[in-house]
Amino acid sequence: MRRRSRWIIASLVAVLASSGWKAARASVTIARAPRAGEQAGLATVRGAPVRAEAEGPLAKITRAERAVVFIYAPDCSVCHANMANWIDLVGTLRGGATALYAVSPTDTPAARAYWGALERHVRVVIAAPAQVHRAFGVQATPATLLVQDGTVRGEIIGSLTAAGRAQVRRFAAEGRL
Amino acid sequence: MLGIFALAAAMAAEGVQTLAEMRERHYVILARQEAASPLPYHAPLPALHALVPAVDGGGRVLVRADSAGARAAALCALAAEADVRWIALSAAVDPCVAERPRGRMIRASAPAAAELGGARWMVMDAGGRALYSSRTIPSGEELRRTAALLAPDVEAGR
Repeated sequence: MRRRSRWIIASLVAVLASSGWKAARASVTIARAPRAGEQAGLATVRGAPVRAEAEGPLAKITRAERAVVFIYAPDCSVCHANMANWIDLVGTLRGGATALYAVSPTDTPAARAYWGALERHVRVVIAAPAQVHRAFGVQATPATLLVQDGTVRGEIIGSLTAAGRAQVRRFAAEGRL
Repeated sequence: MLGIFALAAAMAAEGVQTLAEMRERHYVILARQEAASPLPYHAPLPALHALVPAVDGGGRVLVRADSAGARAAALCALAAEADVRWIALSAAVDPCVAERPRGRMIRASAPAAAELGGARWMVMDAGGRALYSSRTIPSGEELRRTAALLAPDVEAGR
């Protein structure tokens, strides 16, 4: 009987201890929560080569020493909501060592006219969906790819957060994520 | 007694953990929300287009004139910018903006206010479509750079 109650007490103490540990970890998470926001939307690190056909429309991207590639579609609402972020990036990166490309897997007049006056700074490339998927392994738009010497170093799918934009700027300036 | 205490502690720990996860998610959602511009690119804005006519077929930079509270100094810094059209949605307009020459301050109609939504400033093309919008007050340099970047005139963006 006494042995049994000892077991019960030990179990309850264990529950208490684990609760204390859980609460302590949760407190740390609460304190670090703003950092989670600051790190939301960072690039997924990749090292896959760009598989573009040698004579295809995407070939010039593989030859670029460093490039930022915006993959868009004119009928994609998230692309419309994200465009201001891309405009900010074009504003800060234009004229630099990093080439800027906009790739559309849709060949329509709207896709060709999408970038408007920004085509002064961004090279618009229209390619077939299969070519885009094969080259970059991307299936969703908007996507921002960081390409270096024919390799996709990083990928950000969806709207660019402040952390994501800072990462793209750092890649363009220093070549690291 | 110990049993009740252990149960209460376990429930409290569970609650704190849920709270922590919610707080983390809150900041991630805020970051994601900030990443989406208030007005979608190429969104038609007929009421604002009618309210602020285009000059020389060019674009227009519209800045919301309503009081910016703690960021009033940043808003006042833009008062000196040329080619900015000020839109007042409410009566509370900062004096530094209200004292701008007549004609540049435009009182927004209800449909125009609805179109502007949560945007603090925006660039609209000659056809009345949104090109750029933001919830934050820009610096003068940022405003000029963005307007020049989106200007149809080739020379303006160089």
